[in-house]
Amino acid sequence: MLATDGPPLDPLDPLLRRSPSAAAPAADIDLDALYRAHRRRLSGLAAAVTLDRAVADDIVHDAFAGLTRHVASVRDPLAYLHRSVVNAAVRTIQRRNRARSLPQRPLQPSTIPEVDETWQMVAALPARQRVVVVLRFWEDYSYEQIAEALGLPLGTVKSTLHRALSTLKEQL
Amino acid sequence: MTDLARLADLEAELGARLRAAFDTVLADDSVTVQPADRRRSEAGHRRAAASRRSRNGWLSLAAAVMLIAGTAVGLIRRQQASVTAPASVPGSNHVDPSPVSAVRVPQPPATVGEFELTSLSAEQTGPDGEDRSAHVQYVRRTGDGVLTGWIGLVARVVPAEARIESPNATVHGAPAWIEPEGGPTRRVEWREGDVMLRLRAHGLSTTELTHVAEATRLIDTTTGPGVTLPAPERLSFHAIPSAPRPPTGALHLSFILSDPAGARVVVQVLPNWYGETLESLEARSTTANPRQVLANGRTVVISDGEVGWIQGPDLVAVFGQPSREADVLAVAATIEVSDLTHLATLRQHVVHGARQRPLTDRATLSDGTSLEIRAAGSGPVLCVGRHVTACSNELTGQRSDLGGVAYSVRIDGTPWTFAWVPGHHRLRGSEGGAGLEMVTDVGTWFAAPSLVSVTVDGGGTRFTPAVDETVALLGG
Repeated sequence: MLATDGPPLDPLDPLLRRSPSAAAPAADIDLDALYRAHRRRLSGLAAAVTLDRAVADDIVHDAFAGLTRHVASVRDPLAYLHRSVVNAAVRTIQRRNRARSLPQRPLQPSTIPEVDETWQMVAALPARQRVVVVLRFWEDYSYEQIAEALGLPLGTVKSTLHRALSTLKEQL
Repeated sequence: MTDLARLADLEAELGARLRAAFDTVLADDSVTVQPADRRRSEAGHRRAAASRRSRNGWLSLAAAVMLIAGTAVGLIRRQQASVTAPASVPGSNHVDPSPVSAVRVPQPPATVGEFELTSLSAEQTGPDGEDRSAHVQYVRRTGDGVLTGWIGLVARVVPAEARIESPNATVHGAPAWIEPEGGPTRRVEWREGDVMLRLRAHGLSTTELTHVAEATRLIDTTTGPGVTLPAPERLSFHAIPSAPRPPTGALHLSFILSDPAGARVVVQVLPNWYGETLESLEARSTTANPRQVLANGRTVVISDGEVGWIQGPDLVAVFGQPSREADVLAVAATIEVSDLTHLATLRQHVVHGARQRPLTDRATLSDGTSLEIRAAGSGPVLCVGRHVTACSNELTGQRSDLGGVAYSVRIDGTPWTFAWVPGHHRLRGSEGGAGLEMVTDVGTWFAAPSLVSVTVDGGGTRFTPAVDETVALLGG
């Protein structure tokens, strides 16, 4: 169940170019370099969904740990990581009680009021809407990729995104 | 207009602003992502609405500017990262020109190394959600000896219900059961570039796998032939005996300097011999086969980000205790830091031991002087110096004639002295807590982040630390 055509991949990414064929396992992937190159962004993705940096970090670590176990069979390591992170993040927020009990780091707002306001509105969206918005505008997923990542019908993705954006527009 | 068209319009209208916000908030993991308190007052809502209305005309422009700025910042950061990225410098294994004779770092195989994870210990320094420190000891076996070292990291404790069920740690996918309290060890094959050491065992949730990644990289580099530290992020100072203990009970130290430039660390290590007396230990340390007591008398020097092992003449402390805590070895170390920032960094990563209460140490030094250290608050840290033949502390009411370690840290020319006594170690067990129970053989180094005073009587030197400055920096 690995994403082979999920998130947009940077064709210039040397890590990805190490896999000569999308159909071939990326057993020779440089995990260390992959980690260093993508950890922060993946963490941002997870944090956007979970609203918790610590949890997000754990999710990303889990994803990398999972990749190490399956590296021989993974065709697209970065797509695998994205999928793992998204899935784990969604599972996390679905366990709301647990998520609420997790420690959160103190608020350190950015220095740009507009950014803060925008983010607060995004963070206040229902979880599913927030996930869709983040995948759409942070990861530049297509509707189809979002649907695949979240296991939702394409129409549901569009309607969810529509509701989220409508909410944001109204508040802005 | 179709739904899809409306959606496209919304995306066009909001996309730039959302991307700018994400680029700012999510790309910087120092920025929290938690939602703000939504219990805004009605007046607050009115003000916010008015503010939004007045701003609306500027939003598109602002969003575009932010997007451009964010991109520019990202590019700049990327450029900076590439510029400052650590580079291995073969052959630059610097040996500090200090009054110690130099011994080159043993040259291990540059490729695959075999590490034996020998212990994991953890301690809880606060309630869930605060930091725990976890330490993994490894032994890297080479053809003609055993190189030992440390991985140190700081993990974050999560509530029990959030802990990962699997007790297994994994190293590059290979199961590596890491037992606390001297449990069975398992050898794990490490490969160059391995980064996947998970410390989920024992309820520890790693906050930053990067810590581990960096630590493992440090292993590679510190034991590698003439490689400079790869942009170390932190300075760790740990002490633990290796397993098996006798006859190779050695103390292993690793340092990860937050800013290697300007920081110089000299550490001298002695083995312990299961409660042997100071005299016998000293005798053995001068006669034992160096290969049996690899760490004996060895001084570790890290200077300007480079690593070396050197032999040092200024053995200071030996510590033995006829109890389980006897496993704790002696350390004599001198740490010279160029400024207090280094010490503050050290504080973050030293074995946590201090409690949130005032602490007073009294110790009698080997030269007959007495030493009193009063510290308040939690905190770091330690280093070297002098053998303590007797000591007590008000925290435990215990007194020991078994010795301890006093140490001094020189900051901008001013020596600071701290002491470590065996009573502290026992205290850790007596105060209980699952986290504390895990700490069995880690040398507990108490520090004085909020140092109140240090007084040495009996003809010794009187130290006058810059208390206020340090308290401010170390945070108490």
